[in-house]
Amino acid sequence: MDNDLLIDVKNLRVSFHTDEGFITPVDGVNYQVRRGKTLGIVGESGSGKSVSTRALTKLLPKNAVIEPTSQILFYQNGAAQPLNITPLSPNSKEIRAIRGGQVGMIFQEPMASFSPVYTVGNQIIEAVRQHRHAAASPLAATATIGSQIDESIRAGNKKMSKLEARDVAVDMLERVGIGNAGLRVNQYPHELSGGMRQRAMIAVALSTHPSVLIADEPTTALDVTIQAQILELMRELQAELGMAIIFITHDMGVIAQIADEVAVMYLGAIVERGPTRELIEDARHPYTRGLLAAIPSLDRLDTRLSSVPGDIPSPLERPAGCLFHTRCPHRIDGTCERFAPERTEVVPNHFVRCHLYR
Amino acid sequence: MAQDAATQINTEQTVSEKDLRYYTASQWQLVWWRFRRHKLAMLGAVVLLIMAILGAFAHFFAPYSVTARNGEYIMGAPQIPKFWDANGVSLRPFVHGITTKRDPVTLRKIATADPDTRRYVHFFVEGEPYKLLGLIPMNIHLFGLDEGKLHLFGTDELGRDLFSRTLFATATSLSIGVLGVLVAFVLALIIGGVAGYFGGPIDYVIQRLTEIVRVIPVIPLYMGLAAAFPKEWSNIQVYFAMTMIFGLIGWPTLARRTRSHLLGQRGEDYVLAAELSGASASRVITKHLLPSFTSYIIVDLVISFPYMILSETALSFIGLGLRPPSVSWGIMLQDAQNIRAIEQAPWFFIPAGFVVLAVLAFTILGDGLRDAADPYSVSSH
Amino acid sequence: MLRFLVHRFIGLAVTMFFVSIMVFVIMELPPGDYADRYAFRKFSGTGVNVTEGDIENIRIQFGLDKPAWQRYFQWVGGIVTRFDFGQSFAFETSVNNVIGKRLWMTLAILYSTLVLTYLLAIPIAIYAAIHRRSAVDYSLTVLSYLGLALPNFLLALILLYISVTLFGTSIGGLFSPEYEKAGWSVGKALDLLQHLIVPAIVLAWSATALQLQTVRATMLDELNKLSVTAARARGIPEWKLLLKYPARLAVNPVVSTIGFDVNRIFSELPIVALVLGLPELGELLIQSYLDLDMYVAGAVLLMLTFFIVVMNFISDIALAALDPRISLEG
Repeated sequence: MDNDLLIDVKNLRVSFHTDEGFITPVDGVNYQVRRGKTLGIVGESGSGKSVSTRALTKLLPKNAVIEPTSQILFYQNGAAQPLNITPLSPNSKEIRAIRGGQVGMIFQEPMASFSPVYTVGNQIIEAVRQHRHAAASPLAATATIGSQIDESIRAGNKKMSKLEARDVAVDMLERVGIGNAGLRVNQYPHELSGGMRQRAMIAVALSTHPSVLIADEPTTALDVTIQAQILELMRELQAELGMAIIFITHDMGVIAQIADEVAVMYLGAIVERGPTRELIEDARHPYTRGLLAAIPSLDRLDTRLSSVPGDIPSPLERPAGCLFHTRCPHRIDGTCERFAPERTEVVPNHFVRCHLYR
Repeated sequence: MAQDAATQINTEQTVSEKDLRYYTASQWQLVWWRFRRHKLAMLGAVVLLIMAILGAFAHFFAPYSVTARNGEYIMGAPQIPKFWDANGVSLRPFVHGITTKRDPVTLRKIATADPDTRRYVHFFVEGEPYKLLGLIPMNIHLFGLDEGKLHLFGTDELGRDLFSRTLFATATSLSIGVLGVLVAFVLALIIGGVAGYFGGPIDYVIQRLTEIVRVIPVIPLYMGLAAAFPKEWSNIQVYFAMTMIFGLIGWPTLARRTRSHLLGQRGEDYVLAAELSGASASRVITKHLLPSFTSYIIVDLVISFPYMILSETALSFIGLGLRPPSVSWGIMLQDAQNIRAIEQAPWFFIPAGFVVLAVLAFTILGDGLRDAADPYSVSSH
Repeated sequence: MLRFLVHRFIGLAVTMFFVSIMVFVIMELPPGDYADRYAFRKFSGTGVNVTEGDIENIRIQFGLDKPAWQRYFQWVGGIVTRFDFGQSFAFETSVNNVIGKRLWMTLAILYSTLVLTYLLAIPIAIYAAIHRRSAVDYSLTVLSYLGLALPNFLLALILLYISVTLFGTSIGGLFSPEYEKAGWSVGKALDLLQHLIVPAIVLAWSATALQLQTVRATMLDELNKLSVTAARARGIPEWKLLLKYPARLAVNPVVSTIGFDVNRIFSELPIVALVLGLPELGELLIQSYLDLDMYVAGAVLLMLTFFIVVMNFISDIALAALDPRISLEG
């Protein structure tokens, strides 16, 4: 039992009731989130990477069901037992305390994540006043990480005043590198530039000092130079505040820059997981290899970029056996389309689901 | 095992055949497929079709003419054909005969049903001669009584058959709607085309002018124009003048929608793609732009109908539109304006049911068509 | 801000100028002129022989011998400088006298209708959008179809019929007989308020149907916005975030279409007023059209349009105040 473990997800299975039928975009996913570490989740659109992380805060559409056999365990400071949130209602007080309090989120579209009719400051202050209380000193932040749940449940705790919360907002905007924060706090989202907006979005998410930050493709909509700045900022803030990051992307290149551990998802399952360096240098799963080969690189300018052939199947038509067998160049006929591969630990902490490594 | 694989391949093939049918279907097939799934809109279309047929062949379906009066049955209640009464069952539907007495005080004629006489309903009976669609001379009507007259919807203050009048009114009111929409459409095309072709200042002036016209409340505006009709105009002249007014006032809305569809489509990537691959302007317009928005134009036309019909009804209702002896839904409802009249004869409301039904049918049909018009939108597959 | 206001105000003035021309054209449209009709009305049946010369005299007396553009400026000049809308020949007094209190009654009906429409449409539509596919949502769809299909004047007739046959009372008019001629008092005001309910319901009928659909559609749109998910991810309580984010924006289209609603209400007002016997401008408009009393008709048409333009102006300003994305630079 390590002390750094914040969230332990075991056998996560999420289903949706749709008009076309019952689909299971996430099936049997396991991962851990550790303090101060970054978990990268890579996959094509439709691989279930967003759903598997949004399940942590139960931020799923109304027609979604987290199967009761799944376990989403939150380890909290001082608590003897981890809290399994699977049976909790999405509207329960506990979940709302986790949302924003313990788990912050940033999204792909910084413009759309803000409401256009309120100032940036308004939306930070709202979050701060929801989760932080007058009792807690705003700058003793790192010390209180993970204890927000108890804090907010404790009765009689006074809300932070608007003025105090505004100070927190200005401070947070400064920390994410927005100059002239005292002025920016009163501006509307459309008055900020794209990169600035994403910085502001990070400020909103971190203003409540969550122990985990879920970043759902936070750099996809940005220019490459700004993308690099944002990644740099996230690394700095992580070193400063010590939070864990779950970084979701479809871009193997980005993941190599930021993640400590990488999980590769395909059709709702993690097909390969391991420490970033290890996984990139010694990828085992044919799908991971395909993704890596698709990264353009200066050393390989004269060779053709290869891509994974074919399209990701619709979640309504999940293949039997190995999920990847319809596109796999190394398919073992008679095996892959019939049996689902077990998870194998090829080297310590490096797992793969493939019949090639049994 | 082999069989398993075979069935799997089989299902895969049927799926792809279905997909193939979908991806190769023409636009109109797609629109039709989607529209067919819209049960309510289909119902709306059927209702309108029935109304149009009833109106177009009103001479045949109506037992009597617009002006025929039944002095024996004034302000009479609707007669509903029965198959049985106290005297037994009959396979041929019948109504009871009428006896009229004079009220000793008011001296008004009062008609009462005589339960002992039966007047049988016959089909395809000979009646007043007419010309079907104004061309074919005939004298056969769908139904009639062997003796006396049958009034399904009752009669008005002059003893005229409301059922027959409602059918003829349906023809008038629907046709005014159709003509009004057509005039508006032609004007929208011409003026919109001129504005689009010359662009710049002319476009600007036309835009501003239509905005100003749209500020004035529309029914009072219609009323003002209708008030100017000379008293000596014939009913035909008034009829066409009204369609002209509706068209004149109605075109900017239509033009605006068409224009925004056109502008919206022109900026789409597929148009650029067609232009880049060397398609001529005429090819882009006929092969890409027109098909993409004819469906929208049809929708726009359909949803313009209710406004025309309601406007006609409103104008005729207050006496500024069509004038008797023309008969339209609005003119018939004029009789219901008087609270005394509707208290005694609530069946004067029956034409209102037709107005509501027609507008409802057009609205639902328009909604269904709008959903179907964009066959490639998300929920289609 | 000031520039924005001035800009919009100039727009208002220009629109009113063109509207006045259009109204003048409508006034001039009916065949024959004021003098013909005046002479006909005054002398027909009295046995007096009217010659062409007499009519010519009347024409000169009223200044009708001048060209149309001069008469237009005379008319507009009178309105702008002296608030004088000319003479009504049917009532043989000034248009101002004929209009009198009807103006205030019209405004009372307009505002009670608007208030009723928004009080009904906004909360119900927001509720229906949040509880999509619920019983409320489905009945809302049915109701808004009916609201579009059943014209207001038919609804008024039906309500009249029900009130007469079931309750034996008439719901028409704006005052009970005992207050009709009485001076203003608390009792009279309450009586007016009571009588305003039925016209307001009748006129709000279709406006509510339209606004229900607009607000519901906008709300559905807004509910799916990422900003709502983002707020939810910050742990904001559901009802609080629904009110603060999507509901707040769903009100914008309502504000931007106030002028459109006023236009619609005024469009339907005359016929409803005729059916319910409301002493206000719409009823007067129909009467003056039927009498070809064109100075009265022109005045009423101009006033109704003026309110629409003013409400458009107000809605522009309110929208700019509500939505920071709209620049106030003009």
